[in-house]
Amino acid sequence: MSPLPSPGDHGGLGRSDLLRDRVALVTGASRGIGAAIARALGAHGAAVAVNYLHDAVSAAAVVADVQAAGGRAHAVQADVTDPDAVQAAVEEVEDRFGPADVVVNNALRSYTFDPLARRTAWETSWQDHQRQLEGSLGGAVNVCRATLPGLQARGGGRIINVVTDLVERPSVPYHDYTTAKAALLGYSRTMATELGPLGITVNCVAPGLVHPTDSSRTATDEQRDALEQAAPLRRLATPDDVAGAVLYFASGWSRFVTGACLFVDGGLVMR
Amino acid sequence: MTLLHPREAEGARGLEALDAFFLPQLDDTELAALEWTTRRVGDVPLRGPVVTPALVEVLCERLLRAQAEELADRPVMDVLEALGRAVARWSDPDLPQRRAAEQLLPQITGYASDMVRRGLKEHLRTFRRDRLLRFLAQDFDNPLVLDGFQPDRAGGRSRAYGPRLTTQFFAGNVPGLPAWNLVCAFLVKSATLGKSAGAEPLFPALFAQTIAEEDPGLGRCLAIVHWPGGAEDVEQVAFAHADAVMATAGLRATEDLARRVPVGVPFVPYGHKVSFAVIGHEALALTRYAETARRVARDVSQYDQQGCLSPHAVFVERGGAVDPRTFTAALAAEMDHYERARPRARLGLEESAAVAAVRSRYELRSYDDPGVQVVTSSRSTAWTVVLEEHPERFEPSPLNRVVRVHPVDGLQDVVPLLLPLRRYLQTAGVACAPDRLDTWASLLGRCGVDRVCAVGQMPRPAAGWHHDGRGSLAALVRWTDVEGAAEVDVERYDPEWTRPSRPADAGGRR
Repeated sequence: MSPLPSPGDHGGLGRSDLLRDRVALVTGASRGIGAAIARALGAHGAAVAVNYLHDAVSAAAVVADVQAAGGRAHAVQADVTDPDAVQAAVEEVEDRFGPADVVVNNALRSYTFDPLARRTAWETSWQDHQRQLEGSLGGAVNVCRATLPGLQARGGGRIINVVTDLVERPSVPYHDYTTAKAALLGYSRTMATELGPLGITVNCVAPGLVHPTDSSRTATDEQRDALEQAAPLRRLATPDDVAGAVLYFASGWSRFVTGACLFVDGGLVMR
Repeated sequence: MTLLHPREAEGARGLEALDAFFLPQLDDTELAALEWTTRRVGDVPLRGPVVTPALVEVLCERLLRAQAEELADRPVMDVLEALGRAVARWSDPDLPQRRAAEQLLPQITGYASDMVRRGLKEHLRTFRRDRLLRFLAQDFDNPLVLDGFQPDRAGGRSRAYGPRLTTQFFAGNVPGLPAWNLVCAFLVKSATLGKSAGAEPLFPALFAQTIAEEDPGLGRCLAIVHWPGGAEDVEQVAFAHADAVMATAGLRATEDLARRVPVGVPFVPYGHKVSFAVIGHEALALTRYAETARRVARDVSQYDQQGCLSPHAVFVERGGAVDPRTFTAALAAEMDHYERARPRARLGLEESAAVAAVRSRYELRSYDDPGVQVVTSSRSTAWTVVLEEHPERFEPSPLNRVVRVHPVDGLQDVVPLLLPLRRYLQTAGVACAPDRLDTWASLLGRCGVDRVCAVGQMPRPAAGWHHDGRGSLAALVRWTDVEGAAEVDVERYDPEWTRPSRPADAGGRR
């Protein structure tokens, strides 16, 4: 019945040469969801630029995983909130693989999802919001602006932004984080409108609580049980579940879909 | 029952060998003089002494002395408080022993780390201070009988003596399980010579460390080492000194021990039991069935079905809002969800073959028999759910998350299937309407079941449970009665009547 990934199965996402001629840039790809996305894109034939901020060792491991599976990958360091650094990184990718035509904005300012120690509404300052906006929205803006010339030159492409299902169902009110992701969702829709005529689709993937990742480690067992019980598919998302949705938006199978937001949370949010 | 499969465990590679023993009775010089050996269990190198009859001789002597000095005259409530404090330490996620257990037990056993972490936490809750009181209350109307002679119902007074020294054989299939046995021995004031299991020798040593840190006196009464099972020369010495032998083991090992434990020494065996679940039609309501399936899946999957508390089969009553076939589908989906979050340990060849054999046998049958259906994880042996309408017998599972679902018209259909296994039955997880619980419990009890619990709670027995049908503490103690008539009769010898008058008395009369 249900497909179960076995080791070496690319997380149950299989492999192909579907994305053979694609060059993908995944931000925040050294760990967690970003790493799973990079591996999946690599397993389906894309040349993958693995962007990271600090963790060169983990990024190199992701590159090695893709290469070990016969794919092409390269690690690029850049702080996505720094436009110059992003420009340099995008040029580095172009030099190596050619212009990126699958752009996955996954990076964010580091954030701890701890339902017991979160900042309340009365403790969350404008500066807190700004920090998250800079990471999620600012990072995406910088990366999109730097990659747009390449996307246009290739006559089209895919921009995929990772948001969160909290924008629709804030089961825990992480104010600054969720607001910044909601802003990214808005940006994605205006971009979809602007870039549609240029053959570039812009879509969002909105995961529920993803386990296991470094960010979700502080989620309590209780919270995880409650989410599992509430979701029709009755478990938490895995990084590979998110990567599966990204594969769809990166592939030709989604060619007539833009401005969409796909919730990957086992049915917690249905829209 | 062993789970000695190498697992990906980068953390343990290149590690120094870890100490998997607890011997506070020996000083550094004595420890240095022992012969040492290091075994890799899972991926973790574990160090321990080579256990010889001579070493056991020394340990037993010192344990007996420690018991006399530290335990024999210590009030039971005092022991209980100390144990409660030691257990409370384990509720701290930063306790070094707990951290070691959470990191290493998954590598040693192959169990998913999330399962071990949560399993340990849930298990150790059973021994919080207030739960320890239940252990005492379950077996003793008045726990003070452990401290002195107390009035009994027969009109006299009675006192319960625990063993001075118990030789214990710990289980290795379920992490944390030895805590139960250690606690029981302490509550009856027994010292313990513990033989840790080959498959998981670390937890008892870690738990003993915490007890010793909290109360060094109790620590002196514990020695934990590993020797190969069935080492008759070593065990002969151990049995010669012990007042009781407690073992959690499989059938063959238990039979072997029973032959060798000297007559007159109480032998308390646990293990080699079979559990199952019975789902009433009420639990298949549209508002309930998915959650029921989730609970059953959790009971089956926890510790990969290795514990004797895990269900081998699920009997599902017809006549609910969803039929047993739909329930089977929901159960399979939940087994899959559990596997994604807490993957089963990798199996050795023999165990994989056992799962594969069951699958192919039923798949073959399913071609001709519409009452048989096999649902499995794809491309792996991770989990297997077999729907079988007309089972010839209640067949134990090959374990490792293989469960059979048998539709029935009521509990009366289950009874004939249970009776042949009556000696081995243990836990029945039930889900039914409140007014049927008593009838069900009576029937199940008659068939040999010794624990009726809610589905979803099968791996977590309540504190004080009559483990395998007997009082965990009562099985260890022996009683001394002072007869009521004797109390009356000694009045005849009251010194006032029997002592010659003394000069001082004479002076008083002056």
